[in-house]
Amino acid sequence: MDKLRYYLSVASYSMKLSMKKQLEYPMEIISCFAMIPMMYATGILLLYFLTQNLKSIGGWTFPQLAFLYGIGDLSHGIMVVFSVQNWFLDRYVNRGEFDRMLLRPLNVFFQFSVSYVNIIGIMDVLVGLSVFIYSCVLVKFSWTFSNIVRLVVIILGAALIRSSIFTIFCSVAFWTKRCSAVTALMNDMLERTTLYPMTIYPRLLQLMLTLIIPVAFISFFSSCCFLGIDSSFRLPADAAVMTPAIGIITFILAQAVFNWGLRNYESSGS
Amino acid sequence: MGAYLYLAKMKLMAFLTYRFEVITSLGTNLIILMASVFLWKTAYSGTDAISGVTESQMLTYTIISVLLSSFFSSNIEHSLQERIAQGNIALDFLKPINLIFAYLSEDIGISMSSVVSKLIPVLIISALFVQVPLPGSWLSFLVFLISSMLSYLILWLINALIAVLCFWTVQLGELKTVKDGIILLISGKIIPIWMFPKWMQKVLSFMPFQYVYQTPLSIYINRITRQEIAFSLFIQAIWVLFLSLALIMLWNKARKHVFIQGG
Repeated sequence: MDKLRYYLSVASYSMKLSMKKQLEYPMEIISCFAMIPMMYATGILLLYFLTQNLKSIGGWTFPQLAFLYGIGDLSHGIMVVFSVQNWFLDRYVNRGEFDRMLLRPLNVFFQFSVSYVNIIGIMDVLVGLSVFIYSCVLVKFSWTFSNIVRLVVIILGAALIRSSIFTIFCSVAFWTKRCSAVTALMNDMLERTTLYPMTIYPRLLQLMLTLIIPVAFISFFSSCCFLGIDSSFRLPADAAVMTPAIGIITFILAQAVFNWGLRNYESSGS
Repeated sequence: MGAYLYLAKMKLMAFLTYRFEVITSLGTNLIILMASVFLWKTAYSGTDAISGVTESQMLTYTIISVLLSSFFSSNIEHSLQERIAQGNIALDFLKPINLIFAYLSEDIGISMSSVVSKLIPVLIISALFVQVPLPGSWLSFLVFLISSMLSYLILWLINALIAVLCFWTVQLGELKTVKDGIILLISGKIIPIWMFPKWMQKVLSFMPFQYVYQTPLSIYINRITRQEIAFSLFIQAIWVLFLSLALIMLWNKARKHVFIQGG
């Protein structure tokens, strides 16, 4: 228990420090705040224009697609706040940032995870939240207590899945010293595969996006669960159990891959 | 001319060296291709034509759109930002060449390397797994080539105009991402503009973006009449002219700005 409290206090200090560093440049934050909503607007507008012409995509109407997109967006926003440093893992490697962390008597993956809190990401969360609430209104979501608890657990689990996917793939920077192209690839992949319902893809691809890279658990299964749509997969448990469970499994896997890469880490020599 | 050719060649070599990066960015293109192909296949299950376009036309549109976007990769924003932030821009100004053309040739070099590293692989894969993206006719293929060259210039000029802002702001931050997002939505890259509401089509026809993707793609799949083709080529040319003038004006202002800073 003491150990947990110790870790929590280190995390809060580290996160506060990183926030203070960012607040030194308020103009940059403000300019980003103005830009981010436009980025999210493009996704929802694409879906809107498509459904205007096609009525539905794979049987999903615009409100249902918006709900799918809403969950995806919100989990993306949370991921961007707490673990955007995965995208820049190559910078940590090339600048020898892990030297400092390796010297401390603390888990390096833990230190890396709490080393950055992205203030700009709060805008991502706000926009994600508004898209999500808008979609809830569209599908007439019933705000019962159990539904809210399920939602919170699902969205946190989805954010954990997203973050772990990035940790796993960006750890390639330990070997190649670069991960910007991998980051771009994963970002595009996650955006494309969560934008449309999984059922538009062939069965083999669906299986891959469920079992190998668990993208389907981010928003697809939980949306099916809430909206009462057949996902064509029989899950062993409710999405509110499955999503966080998969989140924790990928997180453990992510930590293992990160540590494996760290063994390969060589300082920048500076 | 020799100097520009050399610059283009050097960029091509440098880009092919980072093989891992090349493979991953090929992956990105394939993912976008795959998502769009399955989206349209789902959309066309049950109908023969949407807005007068058949399924095979739409798939060709998608494939060629991915091919174009892999060819249209430009690096000007990144390279200019780096040159300004690190002060190398001062050295560039000492070189006895036109810098705008120098940057353009570097980017054409990158695009040429994309032909080998992305365009041909994507073309082969889509021909094998989706369909062979045949043009409407030989004539439309030739006109498409001319139109896409103009598209390349329009897009490059837009990127260059944004890049030049670096002279004042040093950092571009999210501006590039936002521009990419806008182009994704209103250029016809993913969803053709003809599917948008009428009033939006009207508004967008006064912006340069749809002339980057939709115009050459519509020509390729033979969707528009000869008269419309001639008209859109004319508008493309006007945009190239207008954006070039804007770039030259902004560039001359920017030069002076560097000297004030003491470069």
